[in-house]
Amino acid sequence: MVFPLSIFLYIYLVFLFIWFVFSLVGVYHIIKFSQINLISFFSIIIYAGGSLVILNYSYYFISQADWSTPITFLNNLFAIGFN
Amino acid sequence: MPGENVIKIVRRGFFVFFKRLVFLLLLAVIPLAVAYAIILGSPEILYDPIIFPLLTLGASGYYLFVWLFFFFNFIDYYLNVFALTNERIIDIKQEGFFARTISEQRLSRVQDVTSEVDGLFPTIFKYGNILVQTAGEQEQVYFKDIAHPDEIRDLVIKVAESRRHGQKEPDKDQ
Repeated sequence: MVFPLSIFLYIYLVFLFIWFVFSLVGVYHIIKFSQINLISFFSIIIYAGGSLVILNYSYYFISQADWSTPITFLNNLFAIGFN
Repeated sequence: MPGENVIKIVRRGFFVFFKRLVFLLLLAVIPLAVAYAIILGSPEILYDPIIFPLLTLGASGYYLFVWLFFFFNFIDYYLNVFALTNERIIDIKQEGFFARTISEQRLSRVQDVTSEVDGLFPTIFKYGNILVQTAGEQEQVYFKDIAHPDEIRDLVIKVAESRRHGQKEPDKDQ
């Protein structure tokens, strides 16, 4: 069985979407349930900044990979034991 | 409520958050240690057209998750609040991503307040538990890992007493 490496990229993008939704939930909690003050404001800014740093590094490395590389999986599965 | 004044707002002791912070820092260091071991052991993996992109995706997802976990730990610490007003004791608990509990007891029902500091770190960093005994259906209210529990206990007793005797409540932020 052969499939492209990009399948893992799509799985990662799904994870990224879920992560983004949870991040929005966190920001919503801070805005909705705490007083709007310097602590809540800076906590959101720091979280957003840290996330951007991680995403930026991720993009740097992810963009260098060739995602069309084929992966061969279980090709000789049925041959095992007959040789 | 009209005529109600907030006297004190208390969060959990900062050391409780700090312990989680140290744990998250350890989680953040683990992939770096693994990467260092890979570079020392088999550096050819870094040039593998399949393994390296997969490691990159894994590391990215891992760090995003750890960062999100840190954010929710902060939210958990910041939004867990014990508030004392001249009328009520309010306990707000943020539990996980989507659960939030708000409970309150009227000061007129308060019968007894106990503070508890148990252990080395709670003693050093001055945090502990408070147990409020009330006359209502829910007879006990428990506040866990509150900062300066002894001072809060004294303040709750003082405000409850002054409420009972119809006196003016103590000044804010005592």
